[in-house]
Amino acid sequence: MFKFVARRILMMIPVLVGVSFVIFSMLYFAPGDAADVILGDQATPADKALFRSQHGLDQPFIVQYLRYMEGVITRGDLGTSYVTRQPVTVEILQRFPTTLKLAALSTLLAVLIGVSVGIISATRQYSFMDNLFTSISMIGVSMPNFWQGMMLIIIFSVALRWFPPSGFSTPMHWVLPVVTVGTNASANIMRMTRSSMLEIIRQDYIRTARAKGQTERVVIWKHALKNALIPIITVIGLSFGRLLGGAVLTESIFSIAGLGKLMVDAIKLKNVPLVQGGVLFIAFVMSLVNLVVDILYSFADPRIRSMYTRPRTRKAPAREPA
Amino acid sequence: MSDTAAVSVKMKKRGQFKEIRRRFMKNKGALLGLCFIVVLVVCALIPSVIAPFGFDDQNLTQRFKSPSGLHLFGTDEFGRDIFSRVIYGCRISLTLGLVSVTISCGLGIILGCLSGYYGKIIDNVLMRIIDIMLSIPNILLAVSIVATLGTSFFNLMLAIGIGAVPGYARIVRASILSVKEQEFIEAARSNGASDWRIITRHIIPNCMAPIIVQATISIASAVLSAAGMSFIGLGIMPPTPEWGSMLASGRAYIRDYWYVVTFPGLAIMLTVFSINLLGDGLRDALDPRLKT
Repeated sequence: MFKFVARRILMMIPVLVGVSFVIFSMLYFAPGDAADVILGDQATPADKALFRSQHGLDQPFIVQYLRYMEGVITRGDLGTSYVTRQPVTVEILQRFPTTLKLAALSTLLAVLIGVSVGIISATRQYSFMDNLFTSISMIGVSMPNFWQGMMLIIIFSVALRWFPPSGFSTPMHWVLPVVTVGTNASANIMRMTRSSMLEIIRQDYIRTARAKGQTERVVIWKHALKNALIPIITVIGLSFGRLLGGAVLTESIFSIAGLGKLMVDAIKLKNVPLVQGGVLFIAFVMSLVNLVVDILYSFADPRIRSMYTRPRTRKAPAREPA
Repeated sequence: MSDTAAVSVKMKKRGQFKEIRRRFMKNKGALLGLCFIVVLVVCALIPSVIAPFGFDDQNLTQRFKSPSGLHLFGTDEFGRDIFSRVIYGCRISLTLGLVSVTISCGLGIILGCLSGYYGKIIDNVLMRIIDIMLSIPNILLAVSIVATLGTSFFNLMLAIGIGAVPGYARIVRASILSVKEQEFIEAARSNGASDWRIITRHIIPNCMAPIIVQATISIASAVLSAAGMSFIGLGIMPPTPEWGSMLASGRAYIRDYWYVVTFPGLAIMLTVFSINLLGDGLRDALDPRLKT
C-alpha cells in the first residue's frame, strides 16, 4: 500500500510540472503587458521598465520559467501578487478555507441526497418515485448553477427573507450556497448511484442473498451498495475535486471570497504570479483528491486491494524470482 | 459475388438503422427533447418572424414592465422585450454549442485515433498531456484561454471546445483499443489497406455510437459553460442577446424584478434539458448495452 501511494505521489510530479509549463507559456505568450494593466495608463515608460525588471519580466522565456520553478521547488515560493504585493501562497491560503468549507459541506449534502435517492430509484425501477427522481435529477443537471443560485436568492432571501443573500460568515449564510452547489452535484451522484445499483442488483449473488432469506435491507445496503460503490466514489471524488478548485459562478453570485473568485479576478487583471500559483495549487489539490479516491477504491474492493498488498500466504510465483 | 456482398451489407445497414429508430421512437422523453430542439432550431433560423420586437429595440418609457400580453416575459432595464431577446438568443446558443462541439470532437477524434491506434510513445505522451489538461479545472482553462486570446464569439467557442477535448480523446481511444485487435481490422490490414483507410473506414464507424452520444451531451454542457462564461463577463458582450449575459446584466435588479433573470435562465435550462433527453435517448437507442 505504501509503495502504491509513494508511486502515485511521484507520478503527480510530471503532471504538475506540465501544468505549470502550460499555464506559464500561455500567460507568457498572451498579448497584453502586465505592466500596462497593473500600473495603468498614467505610468511612464521608465516606470514600466522598472516594473518589468523588478519582476524579471525582461528575461527570456526559459530563464523566467526556470527561475519560477526554482522558487517553487526549493522554497515553496509561488511568487508575489502584482496587485496586493503579498506572497501568492498567503493569498491562496487565505481564501482556501472558505472554498474548502463550501466544497466539503456541499459534497456532504450531495452525497446524502444523491446516494439515498439513487438507491430508492434503483430499488423501485420504473415506479412513480423512480420516474419522478430521475426527471428531477435530469432537470438538476440541466440547470445553470448560478441561475439556480439567483432563483434561491429571489425566493428565500428577497421574498421570504429566511436567509441572507450574500456572504459566507455564519451558518445562516452557508445555507443557500451549499444548497445551490450541493443539489447540483447531487444530481450526478444520484444518476451514477442509480445506474450502478441497477447493474449490481441483477447479479447472481444478490439473488443468492435473497434466496438465503436475507432481509431486503441487508441485501441492498450490504451486498449491493458495497459492490456498487466504485463508480459512485469516482463521481463524488470528481465533483469534490472540481469544487476545491472554486465554484467560480456560485462564489460570484453569493459574493463569497473563495478561490474561484480570486482566480477569475487574477486572470482578468493579468496578475500572472497569482494565476500561475493558483492553477498549480488547484491542480495539486485535485491530484491529491484523485489519490485519495484511488485509496478509497481499495477499501471498497478487495480485488483492487490485493493488487497492492502482499497476500500473507503466497504460492510460488509463476515468473522467475528477481 | 461482390454484388451479393454489397446487397447484404446494405440490407444489414438498413436493418440496423430501422432497429435504432424503433428503439428511439419508443423513448418518449427523447422524442419530447427532439420536439423542443426542433422548436429551438426554428427560433434560431427565423427569429425575426417569431419575435414580436427586435432584440435591441429600446424603449425607456417601458422599463421593467411585468410580463403581460404585449411583453410575454416582461421588459428589461432598457425597456427591451425579454421574450424577443430570448428568441434571438437561440441562434447564439445553438451556434455556440454546435461549433464548439465540432472543434472538440474533431480534435478529440484525431488525438484519440493517434493515441489508440499507434500506441506506445505517442499514446504515452498524448495521455500525459490529457492528464495535464484534466487537472486544470475546465472553467479556469476556458477563462484563461479567453483572457489570453481576447473576448470574442469565436474565442469563446474555441475555449469551450478545447476544454472538452480530453473527454473525446479518451472515449475514442478506449473504443479504438476495443476494436483494434478484432479480426476485421486484421483482415483489412492483410488486404493491404493503409492506416488511414483502416482508421477512417473501419475503426471510426465502429466507434460512432459513443462519439455521437458524447457529442450530443457535450452540446448541452457547452451551452451551459457559455452561459457561465458570459455571466462572469468573459463571453458574449451586451447588447448581443445571449442568455448568460442577459442573466449577468439582469443580476443587479433581482431584488425588485424577478422576471428579468427568470426567463433567460429557464431558456437555458429547457435547452440543456432537451438536449440531455435526446442524448440519453440516443445512447439507449444506439447502444443498448450502455443502457442505464
